[in-house]
Amino acid sequence: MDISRYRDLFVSESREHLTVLSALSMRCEEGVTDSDSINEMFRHAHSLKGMAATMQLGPITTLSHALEDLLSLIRSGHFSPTRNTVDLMLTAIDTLEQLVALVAQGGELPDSDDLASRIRNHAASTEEAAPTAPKPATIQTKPAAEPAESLFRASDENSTTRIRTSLLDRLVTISGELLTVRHTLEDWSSRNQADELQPPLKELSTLLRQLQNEVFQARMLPFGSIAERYPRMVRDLARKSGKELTFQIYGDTIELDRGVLEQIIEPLVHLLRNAVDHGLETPAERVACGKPPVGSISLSVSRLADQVLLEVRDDGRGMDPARIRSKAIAQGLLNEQQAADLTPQEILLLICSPGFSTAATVTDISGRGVGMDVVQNAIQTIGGTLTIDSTPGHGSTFTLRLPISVAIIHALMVACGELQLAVPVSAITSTCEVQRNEIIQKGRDLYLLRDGTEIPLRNLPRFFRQRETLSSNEMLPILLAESNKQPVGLLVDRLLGQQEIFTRPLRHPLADLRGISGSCLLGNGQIVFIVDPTACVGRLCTENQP
Amino acid sequence: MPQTVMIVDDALFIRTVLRNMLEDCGYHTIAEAGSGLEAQRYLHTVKPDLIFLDIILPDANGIEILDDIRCSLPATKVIICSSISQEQTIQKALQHGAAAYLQKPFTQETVAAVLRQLEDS
Repeated sequence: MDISRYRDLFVSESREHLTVLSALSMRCEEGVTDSDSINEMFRHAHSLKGMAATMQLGPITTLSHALEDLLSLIRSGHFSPTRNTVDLMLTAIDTLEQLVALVAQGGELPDSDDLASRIRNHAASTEEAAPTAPKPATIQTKPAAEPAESLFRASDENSTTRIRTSLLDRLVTISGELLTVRHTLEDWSSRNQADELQPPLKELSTLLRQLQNEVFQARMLPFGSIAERYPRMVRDLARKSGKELTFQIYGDTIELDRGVLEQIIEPLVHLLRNAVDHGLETPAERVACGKPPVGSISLSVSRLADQVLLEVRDDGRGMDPARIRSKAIAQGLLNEQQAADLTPQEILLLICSPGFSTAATVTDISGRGVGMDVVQNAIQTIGGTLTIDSTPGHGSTFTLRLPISVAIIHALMVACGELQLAVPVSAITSTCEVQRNEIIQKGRDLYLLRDGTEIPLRNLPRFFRQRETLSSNEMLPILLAESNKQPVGLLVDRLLGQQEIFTRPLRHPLADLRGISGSCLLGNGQIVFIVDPTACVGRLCTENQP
Repeated sequence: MPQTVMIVDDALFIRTVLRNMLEDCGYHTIAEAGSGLEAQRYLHTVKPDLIFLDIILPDANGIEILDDIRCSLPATKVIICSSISQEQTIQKALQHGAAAYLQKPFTQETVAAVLRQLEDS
């Protein structure tokens, strides 16, 4: 019997065990070492060992067995876990995660004997020593005070089932395509005056709408499904940078579309890193300013109408708008006059300009080259916005406003030559119609003259190799967008109106089309490409420079 | 008519592997439970011929469930299926009325051997 056919199931279930083990280990460090928690950890290690043994995966079996034995000793009261014990457990869990990842890729597993012996030696040495009280650690997640509730059990009791995400995507696609079929039927019915078809067609429309709602509901996941990784990350960063802090997550049950969640994992990693690394002071610095030595960072999620609000808040040193302003001027991002016109919030947002950093040194913790500009771009890509509030000496709050779903967006339909294109409304700041003489040409580059400034302009029909439209004398429609805080224009042939569209990603070989971020299917069966204005104008500013 | 089986184990992976191995031996799995609570819920509805029962469950100890089954469904045979290899635990399971003890990790061969042992007895 070929056991390898169970590989995917083994991988996904092992990951669930490891996620819970990791979360419980962290609570162990907080001093939550009640018998329920230890028991549950033991059970997860035990299950993993049994599964790995069945799969004949020696290194995973050995390591999870060592972990199981260590937990068994803790459970029986032979010794209390120290910080080092938790470190060792987390190392084991990390290694197990890597081994499971290798299993997923079908790779060879390295042996885990060294780490397994370290765990066994640690248990033996700690057991000999007098039991020590666990040093309370300073990282907390919100449910710290609650009894250890099993993340794992929950799925059993809610009678949930596991669905591959690709299947879910397929369901979304099919329900979208059904709309097209409905349109064809409606079209035929009206052309042939088939009145008796009207009632069932109406019923079909209602059912299709319901189906789509349900399918979208199925794509929703609680924020907690991505938030599990953050407490561990914040803890590690805090230890690495010598900061003492408590970390809390609020609202992890609030649901978002899977697509949105996937897009915010990295921006949140970056914001939390910044909060630990640059936001919080060291305990000594905090005491010197009259603050408690232990700082606080929180990540909270709340729902506001059809938006989700995510806040990363710290009570650290805060940011000084005056310093940011002078630095931005020194870097040539804007002149004195422009800086004077900005509100304090707009000044804080200058830290999202490419290459801008207020930290005196770049540490390996916050990474090099990846800045707030990347965070802001990622948020804008999914139609979200970022705002920053900060009070020097009291801390900063980064607020992300996100759409609940990215699959359905409002788009402006435009015509460019033969092409009909959709532009996400969230990417456009305004639209206008201009006279031919308001557009000036310098070499190959176009500029729109507005209020005495020259706004770089991208001729969208030319960009997509359509026939040129500049020769006509009509009013020319322009979409205004922003790129790197600078206004840019997109010249189109005609504005066709706004509508809700159902976005679909492009796959190979179309995935790398410049300026196109996806596609949608209209009710009449026509495929329309979705334009990414930022990508269209991306090189415009540099191209336009002499 | 093939004998009916219920599998009680918190790991979906183990349940799936075991179910397929049992199907290959001609046994039909009519119920699976991931916890003691689920097991209790299905037990009297499905009345299986055989139950493969794990010892370490999220909410219960398999031996306690074994006691319940022996009282309420005396005709049902219970096979304890665990990776615990201590003789003491195995003896305890048998004393409490387990028909057999299947050691994890199991293979198609060890599963078939346990089934043969039950058929012979």
